[in-house]
Amino acid sequence: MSAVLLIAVPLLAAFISILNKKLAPVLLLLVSLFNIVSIFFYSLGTITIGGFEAPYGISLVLDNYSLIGLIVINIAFFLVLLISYEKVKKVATVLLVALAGLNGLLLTGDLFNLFVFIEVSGIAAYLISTTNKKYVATFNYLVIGTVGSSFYLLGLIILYAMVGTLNMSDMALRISSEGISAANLSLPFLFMFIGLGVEAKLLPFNSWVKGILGNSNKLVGPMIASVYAGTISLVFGRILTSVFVVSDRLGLILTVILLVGIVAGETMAFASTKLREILLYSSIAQASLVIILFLEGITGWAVMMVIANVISKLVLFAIASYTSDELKTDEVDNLKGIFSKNKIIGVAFTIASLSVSGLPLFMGFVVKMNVLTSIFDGEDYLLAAVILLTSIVEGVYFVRVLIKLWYNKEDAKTINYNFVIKYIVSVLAVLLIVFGTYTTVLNDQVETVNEVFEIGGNE
Amino acid sequence: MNFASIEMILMITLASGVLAYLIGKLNAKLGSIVTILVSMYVTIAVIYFGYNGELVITTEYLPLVTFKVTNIGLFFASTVTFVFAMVSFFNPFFIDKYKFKALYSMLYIFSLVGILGVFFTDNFMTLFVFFEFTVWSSMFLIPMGKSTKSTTLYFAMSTIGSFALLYAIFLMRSQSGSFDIDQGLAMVSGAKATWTYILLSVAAFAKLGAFPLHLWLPKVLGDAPDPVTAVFSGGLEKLGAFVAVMGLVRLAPVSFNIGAIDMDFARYVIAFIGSITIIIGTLMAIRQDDAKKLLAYSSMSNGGYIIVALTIGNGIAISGALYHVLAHAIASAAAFLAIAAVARKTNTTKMSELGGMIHNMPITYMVYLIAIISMAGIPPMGGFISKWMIFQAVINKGLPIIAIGVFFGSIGSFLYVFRPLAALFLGQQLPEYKHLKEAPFFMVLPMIILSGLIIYTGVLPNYILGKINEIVVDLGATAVTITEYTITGFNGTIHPALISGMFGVGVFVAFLIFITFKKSKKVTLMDTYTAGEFIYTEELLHYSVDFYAPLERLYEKYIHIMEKTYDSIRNKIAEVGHFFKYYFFTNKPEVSVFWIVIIVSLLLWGESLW
Amino acid sequence: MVVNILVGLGVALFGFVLQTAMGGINRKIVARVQKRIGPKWYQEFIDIFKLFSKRSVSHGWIFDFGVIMALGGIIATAMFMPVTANIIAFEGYDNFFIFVYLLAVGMLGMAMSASGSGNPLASIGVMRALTTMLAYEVPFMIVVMTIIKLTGGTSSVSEIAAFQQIAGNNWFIIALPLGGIVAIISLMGMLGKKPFETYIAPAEIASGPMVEYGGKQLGMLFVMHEITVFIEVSLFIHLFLGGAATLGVYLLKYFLVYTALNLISSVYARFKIDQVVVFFYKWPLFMAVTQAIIAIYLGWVI
Repeated sequence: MSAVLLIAVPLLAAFISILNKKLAPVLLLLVSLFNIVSIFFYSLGTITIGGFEAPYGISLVLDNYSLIGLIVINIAFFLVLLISYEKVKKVATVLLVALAGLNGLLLTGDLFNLFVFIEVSGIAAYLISTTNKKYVATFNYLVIGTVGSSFYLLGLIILYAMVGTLNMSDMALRISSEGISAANLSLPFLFMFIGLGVEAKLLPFNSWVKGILGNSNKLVGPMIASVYAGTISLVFGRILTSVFVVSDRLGLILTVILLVGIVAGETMAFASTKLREILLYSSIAQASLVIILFLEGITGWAVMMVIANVISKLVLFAIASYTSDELKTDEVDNLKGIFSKNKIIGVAFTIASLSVSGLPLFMGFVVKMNVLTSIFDGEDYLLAAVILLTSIVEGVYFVRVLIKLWYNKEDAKTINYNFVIKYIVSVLAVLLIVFGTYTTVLNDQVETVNEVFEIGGNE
Repeated sequence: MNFASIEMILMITLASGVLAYLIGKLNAKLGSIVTILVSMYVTIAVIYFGYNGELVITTEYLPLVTFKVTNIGLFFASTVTFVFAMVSFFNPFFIDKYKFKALYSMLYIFSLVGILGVFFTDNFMTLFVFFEFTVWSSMFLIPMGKSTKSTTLYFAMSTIGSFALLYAIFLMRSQSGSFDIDQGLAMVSGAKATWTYILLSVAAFAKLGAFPLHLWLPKVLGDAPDPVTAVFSGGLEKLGAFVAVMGLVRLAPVSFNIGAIDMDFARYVIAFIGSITIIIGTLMAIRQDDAKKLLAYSSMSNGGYIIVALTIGNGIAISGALYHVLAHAIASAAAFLAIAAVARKTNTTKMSELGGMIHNMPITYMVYLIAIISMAGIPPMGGFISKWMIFQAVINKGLPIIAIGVFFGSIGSFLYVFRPLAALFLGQQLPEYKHLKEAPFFMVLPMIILSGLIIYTGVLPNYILGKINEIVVDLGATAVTITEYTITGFNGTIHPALISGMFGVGVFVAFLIFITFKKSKKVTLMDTYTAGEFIYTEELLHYSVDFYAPLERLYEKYIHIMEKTYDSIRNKIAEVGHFFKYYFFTNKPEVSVFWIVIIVSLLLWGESLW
Repeated sequence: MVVNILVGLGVALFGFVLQTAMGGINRKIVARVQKRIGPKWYQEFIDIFKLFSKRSVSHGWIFDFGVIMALGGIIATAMFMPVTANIIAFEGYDNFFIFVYLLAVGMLGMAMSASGSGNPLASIGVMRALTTMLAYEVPFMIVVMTIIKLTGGTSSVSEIAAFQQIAGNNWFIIALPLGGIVAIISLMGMLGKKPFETYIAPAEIASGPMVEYGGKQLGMLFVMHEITVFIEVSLFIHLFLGGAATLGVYLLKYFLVYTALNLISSVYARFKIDQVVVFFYKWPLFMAVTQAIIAIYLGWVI
């Protein structure tokens, strides 16, 4: 079986589902489940599409890096579907297209193909976000997303003109063999960075995030913040490590943007009072952090951080969006004490937020410690200081939220969480604890990921 | 199953934490009784196996954790676990006041787990993991008390300390190549050593509640449930003292030596900050109305003493600091427990609302009296021994400015320990509390044990000082000269048993004089000299509000400076956040395009800018 | 050991008798200053015995227990005090800090008992006494710290006295002039002499702590007060005036010091309590620190 099925089957199902609206959600679930199961049967390697050999044709790459990504993203996608099943019914077709697009992003080995899949998943994302019913925000997202992908395309065109190929590994080879200087490459790479950065929520390209995630319902929230964010981060990571050649000036600009992004994200979260806003600004900061780790070359642990974030943000956004859907408000002061009546949800939320802040026993702590070790090994003291200082701010606002949500003076509002969400978030929370204590699993995966980039093309 | 293994003790404790939660769900009181059993088990295991040299350090089940038994770790662990055990007796009586009863029992035990990990390891990463674990288990205990507001402040300051520690750990690793504690402390040098020193001091200050990271101490100790307050003051703050020993004593001096006093400049700066801590703690304690906040500031002040003593760094100073750790832990725990016993039935710890409790609770009063005699450093209790040694060290070095702080704290402590005595226990009996009885037996028992230990540490300190001498030698200083009954300092010798003995003789003589003469007639409290006025209300005749008003008025204007500083820092961070939100997050796509253009132009033409 | 205890109790008794007699003599001298005749020199003894023979009231067990603890603590302190080089009960253990803190035990006992009487005026008096103590102790301790450093590191009171008697050494009141002045002012604070008499303040708070006492309790407190004065003046003599080689020299120095202080205070009015604190933390503290720096670091000792 070829990994192409991961993309082809959802697309096919999307077309079929247009015919029968009633069957669409069921089809969606089945296809998603099929995706997950089939991953374990594929063999690693490059897959050429349509018989045209690389570098002339499009190729899909299934190596350890994409394998991990595929497993995590598909499972997360499926869980989000389960949690938000009622909302899914309206946009089932779009979700199938999104599934295809996400898988394509992770699998592709061709830069133009990447653009296509960015557009595909992007359009799907815009359509999914209409379920929020905040149309101005969706429009904003649409415009910015298009601007972003246009920049990516522009950069890609310049690059093609310079190097003459669109295949990722081929491009890496040609750049190093033809000796094109990094300074010449910095403009196209910057454009491509901007393009990806829009979707990856990097400051200052991310004005859409507040509108979309700030008013998210339980479908949009976890989908965009967890599934999409994880995918884009992994894609970004692959490009940064295997294709990009970063000149000093470009490196300086990128590092400044990313550091400012981290600081800005945390301070904005500190200044917010609505639960979803706090979470989305925290996501911005985490996204910038992950990209800077890829930039520094700490690939393996950056991947682990992405996975940890996918799990935690899924839990956090699911709970936050569900709550605001039911209670029509997400001011933290109005939500005081809801956890005292819903202990399972509360515990899961607590575990996820403590994992993001990096408290011991949880996966986030293990990841953070190893990341810091690598950073110190690279003697980058400023970055470490920034990370630690912003972590203090992060911890403070999370604890503030937790205390308010657990303790209340007057009667708390009552809210009923259905069985599905309770089950899913508890399993994910337990997963965070498991990965936090049995770190050998993580260490092994980090090794395999790092090997991918040592053998293949690198800067 | 080797019961003398640290790993086994840790795993049993962890499991009992979960067990306490499950039992607590069924019956809250039974869950809290589990905490008593577990902490007694841990204390006895640590002290018995530890001091017989039988603690096993091999790990078979836990991954990545390595243990090591050092003299200093054993000393700290015994003190802290003992405090946990004594305080745990109070848990069943207070458990009904909490919102999450089963969780309380579990978190109480989890805090204990963290302690074991911190004191018995030789690896910095293990230390940090358990350190953080203790922080967040104890953090969630705080809001179950009176108010939830102080929790975030505690977390913020504690995290500043923890992350400073983490940065220092990584700095040391970059020079020694591993996370090993001994290697890291020994091999760090140069500019990194200076940063490590500063960061470790910040970490110690944050945990001890020293200036300028002291704001959380009165708020947290005032708001937390009463047994938790006792544990914080008597146990968890000592984590800070442990870090202080690492940073101030084991790290080689990092800057130039001031010849006149033969002391390293960096250490003098820290001693000066410690001295300021003592003064601020004392002054703030004098003006408190809430007995728990008063004792909290007293803990801050005593933390300052420990810091000053550790920076001086010779044998007597270190012994004084370590003995002070022990004496303060048990005295503070006893005092807080006494206040808790009063507060249990009266539901208040404000001295302006209480009075005359000695007539209802005489045993609690005696416990409190013995505790505060020790805290003020008066013989024949343990606090005198440690304070005497610290004085010896300060005077021997010839530090007049630091001495001002040290002496001021010592005398000032008379003032603030006396205030609860006079306002809460003595004075007029308020009518609404006249019916209250003494605390139940299982609350009185730990208090009496603690009092007995306070007296023992004051009268016969030499056994414990012998153990401390081993630690002093480990740390590279000269041991204190002790014989079976005397202690020799730099400029004198004291014989604690003799002092206590003579005190006994004096009291006996006075007692003889007393009973020789005619018996007095017993009158009620309201029957006092009132210059001819008739009075019927007890509140009017009870002096407790603004007890030290004339003194307080002298420094009233300056007390809110630190609080205002921290508030403004917090507001500045929020302002930065609002700034970013305003400039980057609107619903207009033009803004993003604008920023993209700026960045691209920076790339292309940025060179001409700089 | 038993001999030492008996010698100590003897010292305490000696101190009591000495001070009571001195007090009586001083009352006569102050009376002459005020153009009166004054009572007999043994008036104080008569007062104390009268009090012991009367029957009084008690406000509870803590009221009595505090008085016993106060007198007991002071007797214990007095037992450690050296009189001359030969009359000393516990040689080598008469540390300066022991005196400071055992005095505190006595004070604590009296404070407990006073507050336990239920009269707020007593609590106010105790509050003022503690505040006054905070004021005068710190400058005094800094000067003593200087002395300890200068004697080469001994804080034993008798050894400091012996150090001053060595030929070539001046008494510390001359060798450390600033320190000497501070010590005299602090001593007046310790003794509770005007202008630092705030804690008793007879006209304001009805004698402060003493308001509820009578009969044997008041008698015991008087005894305690006399022995306290003995201890404090004795400390001053040993630390600053070179101690005494013989008993006669000791009595002479004691008489001179006590009378001089009394005469000074007889022409003063009383400070308010916050004035006391501010006073001590201005010039005396500054002088004490200056003296310490001069003597320890610069070595300018006369």
